[in-house]
Amino acid sequence: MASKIGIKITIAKLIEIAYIKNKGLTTKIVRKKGKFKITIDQNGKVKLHGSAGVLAFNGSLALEAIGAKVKFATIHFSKAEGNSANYRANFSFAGNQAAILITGTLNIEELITSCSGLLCNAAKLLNGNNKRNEERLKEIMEN
Amino acid sequence: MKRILLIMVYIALASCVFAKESKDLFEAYKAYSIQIKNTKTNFIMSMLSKDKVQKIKTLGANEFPVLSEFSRVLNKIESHFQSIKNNIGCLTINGYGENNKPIILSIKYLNENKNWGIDFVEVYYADSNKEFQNKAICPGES
Repeated sequence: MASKIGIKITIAKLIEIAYIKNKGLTTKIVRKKGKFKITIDQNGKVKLHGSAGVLAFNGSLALEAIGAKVKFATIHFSKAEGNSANYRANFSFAGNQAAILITGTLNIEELITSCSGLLCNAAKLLNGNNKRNEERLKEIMEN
Repeated sequence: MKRILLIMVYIALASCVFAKESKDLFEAYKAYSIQIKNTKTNFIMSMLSKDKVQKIKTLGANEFPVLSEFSRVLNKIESHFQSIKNNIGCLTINGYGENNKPIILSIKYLNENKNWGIDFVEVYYADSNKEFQNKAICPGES
């Protein structure tokens, strides 16, 4: 059974993975004035949508933490005050599980700058259940 | 006999028109990569679809980071494939980026007034080069 906090942490993880894949492009997409979105398909393919293009990667490992098979998901982000962004996430699951809708605010700047060192990134990638990282993401997403 | 000759001339002329309109999309990609480094704005705009040019004029270039970044991601190109159907062209490039990460770049082109303009781009970070494509795939906006 998927939990709301599990999904929130996964959203943060997906942004972090995108950042690790391509720091420059991810930063430009999430910092631009307008809106951006993330979509996930049934194969675990994650797309970070910039206008006229997407940065895509396989997010299966991060999605496993949700505890349910994602059928598709869309997360819309819009600019809020300061470095924050409002988000509205819609997750649908395989089987008979009910869809989950989550709204919230996160500090994008904090998310992409708080852990950008090579060792930190490597640790996060190697250990998907890194406790410290999970706690940090939970704090960012609960704000 | 005269009719057959006329048909043959028509086919030959049609082939010439097609040859003129068809283009090596990989060459277009390479030209774009060079121009984006030189930041020749007018020339870059001429390499985009009309829709994207209009949107850039309205929203500003900063709203289109993928268009300014995608041609920089590949350090080494392994292979490329293109397909053209009517006015839509698709180019897929397999290659390696920073730290030798395998990347699949897929670009959708639109043919407008005999000019192939970039309309949409997908930069896919593959888990391994086993995911490399052996044909052109068209990136979707959904």
